[in-house]
Amino acid sequence: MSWPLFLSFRQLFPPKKFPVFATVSILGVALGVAALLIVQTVMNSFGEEHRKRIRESVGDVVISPDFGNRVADTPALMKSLAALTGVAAVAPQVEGPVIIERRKDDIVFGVMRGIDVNREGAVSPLPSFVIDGKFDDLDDDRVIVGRTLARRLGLYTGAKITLQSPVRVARSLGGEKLDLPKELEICGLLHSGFNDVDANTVIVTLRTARSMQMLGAKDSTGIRLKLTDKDAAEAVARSCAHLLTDEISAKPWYLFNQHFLQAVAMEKQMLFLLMFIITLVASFSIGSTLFSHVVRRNREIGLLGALGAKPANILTLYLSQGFLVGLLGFALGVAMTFLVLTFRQEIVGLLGANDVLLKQYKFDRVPLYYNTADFVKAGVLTLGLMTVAALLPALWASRRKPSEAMRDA
Amino acid sequence: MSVVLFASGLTKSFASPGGKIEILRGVNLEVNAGECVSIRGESGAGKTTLLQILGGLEKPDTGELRWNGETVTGKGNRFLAERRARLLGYVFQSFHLVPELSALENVTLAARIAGRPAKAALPEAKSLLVRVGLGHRLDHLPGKLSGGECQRVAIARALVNRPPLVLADEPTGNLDENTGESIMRLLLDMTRERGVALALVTHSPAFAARADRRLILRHGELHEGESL
Ligand SMILES: Nc1ncnc2c1ncn2[C@@H]1O[C@H](COP(=O)(O)OP(=O)(O)O)[C@@H](O)[C@H]1O
Ligand SMILES: [Mg+2]
Repeated sequence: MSWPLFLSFRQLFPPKKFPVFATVSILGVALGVAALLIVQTVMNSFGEEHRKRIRESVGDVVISPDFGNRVADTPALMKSLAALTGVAAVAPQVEGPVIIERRKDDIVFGVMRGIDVNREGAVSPLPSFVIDGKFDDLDDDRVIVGRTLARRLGLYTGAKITLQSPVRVARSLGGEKLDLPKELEICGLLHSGFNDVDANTVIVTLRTARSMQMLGAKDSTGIRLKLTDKDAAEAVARSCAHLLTDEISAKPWYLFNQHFLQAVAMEKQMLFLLMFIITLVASFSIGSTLFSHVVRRNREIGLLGALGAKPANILTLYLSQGFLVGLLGFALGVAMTFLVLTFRQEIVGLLGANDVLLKQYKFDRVPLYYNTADFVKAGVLTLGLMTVAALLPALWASRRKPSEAMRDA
Repeated sequence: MSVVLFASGLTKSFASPGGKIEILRGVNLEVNAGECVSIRGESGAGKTTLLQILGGLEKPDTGELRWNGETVTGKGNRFLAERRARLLGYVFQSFHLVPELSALENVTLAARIAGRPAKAALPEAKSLLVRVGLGHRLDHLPGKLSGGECQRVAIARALVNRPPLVLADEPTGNLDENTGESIMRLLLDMTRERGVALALVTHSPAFAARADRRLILRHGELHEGESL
């Protein structure tokens, strides 16, 4: 180790003495870094979680009608879609509004989603969200009900409900003679963690859904694609176009809730800017602390000059102290970030914000996705700022004439 | 005999509210290898200023300065720093040890600044500290040492790079009489043993008398002599 680095370390951490300057400065940096990283990671996690939810519920690419209510000849279209490069799996769906009747006159509205039991698992994680029952038990006589919805209605696995759809009601009112709605047995509850889904959705088979929506045997309301590369959504969506009629289009997942995702990204950037300003202020105060730390060593600087230290050595001596404070502060800040975020659920609980999380963000757990880029950005920023903060005192020290520094004795 | 320190026509003045004060008005000095020269003078006569100019810490207004025959006046800071580390040892009135470094580290620091690896200088630094009587205090921090002990460390530090010349500015000025006596004896003995030239600024006529040559700084000039 070169002597300026050696001495730099010693001056930061003097032997047999509590390192006041180092502690205060490093803690200052660490708090700034932790604040920045926690905010960025939380924002990132919310954004990522939303993206994941959207992708899981709509699929990587969705084929759906822009006009009309159906995709005709679904099996043939699915076959050609599946043959496209980049498409890993396809599955049809029939969605629509539904009236859920538990007892006579005890009804609520919900969203019905008809799926192909054999294909669904290939395009979405839905089967793994089923609790209190088995996804595989779903057939034309059974239904899976959202967990929150079930709780609200006092339903449980094994209970029976009847489904009715507005389409059928309208037809009946028009005088058409229709079968009475079938009674379905609940074979499981859906717990996706996304409250909007869990509070409104019932899952049925395609056949059940088609009869609810009065659709033909080859009709669907959409086809969902699972891609081999999820980042290729846009390209695959474009390559689908030639298979589709004018009334049907293919959309990548991120076009759903697009504005919401943009708002989240924007918020993250704004918060970065705010936290950056806070870090800037902190680095100013650390710079001034470092300055007084250097000024107090006036005589030592003179001595080093008398011993033959070059101005560049003195510069290194104090710049490296700024850098070290930055480095250790950053490391500690990262550790604090991990610690705080590990206990995020407990912290949100202590703040009594679990309800807000559920209501506003539709999450029942605080999501966590670390973004390496956030950490790299914060690291470069901290080390850069701290070195700049140390630059002024270091320059001051390196320009001291040894004779003057010694006179102060 | 070779001349380790050569100065001719050194002048120095400082600006003050009352106008320019001329501190040095043409100092001429030659110190031979291994020679001990004492410099006395009244307080404020400019002894410290002179020693700083001789050590290259301060630039003279005019005049020429040579170390080991090489002209150093007019040279840049990097050059001066490099030569200073190799050719000069300093002992100050107020010790000037680095408080965060142990006695041994303070001595090896001078070697490291001179560009020597710490390991290479370690045996020499240790034996010097043993020689100054601090063999049992190697790892002590300056704060745990007495004034006399600190000055012993400073003497070891001044000699660790085997410079041809040591500059000492009132090295006993902060010490009591007995301690001062033993420090002075140590400094004179050790420079003599090693054939190191010594320019010694002191108040004490008794210490000055032990030098090979006795000089007085008066009215900005150096004179041979005993009395102020
Ligand atoms: N950097 C400076 N600026 C102005 N005056 C100075 C400076 N350095 C020394 N002096 C003045 O020069 C004079 C000589 O000082 P000094 O060399 O310390 O004397 P001595 O060591 O003989 O007591 C003093 O009057 C002192 O105030
Ligand atoms: Mg003096």
